[in-house]
Amino acid sequence: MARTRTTAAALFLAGVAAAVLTGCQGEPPAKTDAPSIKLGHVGHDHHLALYVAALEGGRFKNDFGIYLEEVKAKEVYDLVDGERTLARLNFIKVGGGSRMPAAMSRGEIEVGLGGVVPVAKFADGGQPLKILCPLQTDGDMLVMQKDSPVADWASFVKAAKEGEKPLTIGYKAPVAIAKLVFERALVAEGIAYGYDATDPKARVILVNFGSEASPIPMMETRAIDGFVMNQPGVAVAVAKGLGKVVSELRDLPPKGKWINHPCCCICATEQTLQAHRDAVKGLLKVILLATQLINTNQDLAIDCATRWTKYDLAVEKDSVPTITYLAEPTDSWVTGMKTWAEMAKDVELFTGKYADASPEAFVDDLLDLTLVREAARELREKGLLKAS
Amino acid sequence: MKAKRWIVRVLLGAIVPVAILVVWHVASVGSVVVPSIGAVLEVLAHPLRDPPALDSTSLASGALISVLRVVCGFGLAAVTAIPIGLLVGRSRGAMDMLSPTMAAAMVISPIAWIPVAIIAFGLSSPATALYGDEHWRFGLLDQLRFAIVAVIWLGAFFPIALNAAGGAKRVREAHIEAARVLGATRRQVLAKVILPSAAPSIVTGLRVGGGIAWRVIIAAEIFPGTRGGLGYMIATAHEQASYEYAFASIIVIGAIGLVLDGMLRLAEHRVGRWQPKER
Repeated sequence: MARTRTTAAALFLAGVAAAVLTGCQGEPPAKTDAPSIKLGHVGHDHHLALYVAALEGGRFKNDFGIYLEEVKAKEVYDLVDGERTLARLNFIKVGGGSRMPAAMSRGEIEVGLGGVVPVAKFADGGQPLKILCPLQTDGDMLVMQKDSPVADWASFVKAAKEGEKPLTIGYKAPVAIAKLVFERALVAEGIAYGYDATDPKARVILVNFGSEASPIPMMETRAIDGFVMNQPGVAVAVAKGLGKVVSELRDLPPKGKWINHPCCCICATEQTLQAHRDAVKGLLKVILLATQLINTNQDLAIDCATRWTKYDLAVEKDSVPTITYLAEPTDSWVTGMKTWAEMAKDVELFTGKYADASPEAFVDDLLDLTLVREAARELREKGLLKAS
Repeated sequence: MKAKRWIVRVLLGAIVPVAILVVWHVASVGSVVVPSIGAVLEVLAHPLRDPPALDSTSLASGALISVLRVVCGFGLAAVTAIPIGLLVGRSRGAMDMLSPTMAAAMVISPIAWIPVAIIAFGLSSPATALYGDEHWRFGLLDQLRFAIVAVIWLGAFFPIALNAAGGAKRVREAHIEAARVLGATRRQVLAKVILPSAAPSIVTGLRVGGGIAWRVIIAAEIFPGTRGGLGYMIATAHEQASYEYAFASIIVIGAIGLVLDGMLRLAEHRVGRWQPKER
């Protein structure tokens, strides 16, 4: 009797599991002959151009004729040009820092949005990938405790040099753009820094609070005096009343060196570029148009940022205007990439093929801007993209 | 008298949770990181609602996804670890061959295997296996990423296998001999003597393995491409400073873990009730 009951219960549970697993499959999307491309992104507002294109597909269809058609919200979109589907894009949230190029190196994504330095680091290690265009510049800041006497960079330097105790500053990842800029600014000011709280010489102690983790708990417990980070992490700390922006990192010394410093970019594997050149060019067209829309309609941009990232409206209102959205490479952006190459050499970040490369050789090898320039030219010819 | 003892037990059991609630309330006053009890209850009261300020699925959906992942990983661990454990416990050769590896692997945190699992399985899932790449993003089956299930399996496998081995080793030879004298086949000896004798140890292993599987899921759900699960919700809530969702997820994890442990404890009691108490 007991055995019968057990068998019946097991069969019932198996039936429920089968029903759940098969029943929740949902309607599969219409099949497409277009290539399927896995696209990695981080999910924050540095990648807003992609989210604007995804959320405003109808507007793009009407205004530009090239657009993303939603198949499954936030996950699958068809890239359509006129009547032709160029590709099915599978959006994969991969995390920031090195996680995007790491996912690319494992073959999980073919096109990725992420920071230029981690991408360069992976290319240096031999990963066959190319940076295709920028996504944005700036948007990195130094934030201090709200009640800190430090109010600007000059007072930060004074506090670091003359204060009783060294300042403890958090960062999110070893190769995060914000951390690298901040370190070079400390060197430029002659401020000794280190990672060990017992280092007697260090006037600034740098503390890793973990990639994608938030500095908020460490700020609340005063484990750190401040942090350097990209948006929207900065705006969250400000909105929560825990911090104040002391300086945008673009303004740090050496003077003028960090203005429009390259931050996030779009990159792709060389194999994808060869196999799906048309589709990638189509994606770049959409990104160019979305960037134009962001720069001409900030309210829409903020609305899209809130809808996609689910951050508070107050956070995105604070964050989006501090980021310079840029998809068409400018001379200053390329110069910024060369600056990264020099900086990387200074801190011995590269140990592979870029270890001894000149900044010119570095950008020649890492950047492939032909597609984005072609895409921009074609859009201009149609009168869709305004002069940069 | 019985009722009085029961009341005392309940009161004693309530001391720590009440103390936690008091500390929580005090800590939440003026804090950004520690949400108020009310804010967390609000999240718990609407488990089906998609979080308005968090890039995540609903709490109930996250719990379902996490439970499915744990059930698959833990089930796989039970199915593979029990036979291997019994083999190790009953065969000198198998013990010499496997026990050093199992002992060494046992002390490695399952979390350490995450990068290996990602490299081994990538983003594949039963959905990709059944329907191919075209369907890889669809349905609940896709949430059962092999890499996540593999890490849970690794976490639960070793305690179950080692306990099964220990249980099988402790079976009295006299019982086995008696069964053989009475004409029992090898299969009957396994089913009627070894398995029942080792059952309490096996269930203890399942309890330990189940606990580890639940702990592992939190870390495993930060895999690339994951968009659901209680671990994902905690990580995202932390990133977006929406800590009420992190706390609500922690409570749900604790509650499900309690139910899982209660079920295994009941099984432990049932399989062990015929055995004499050791003195």
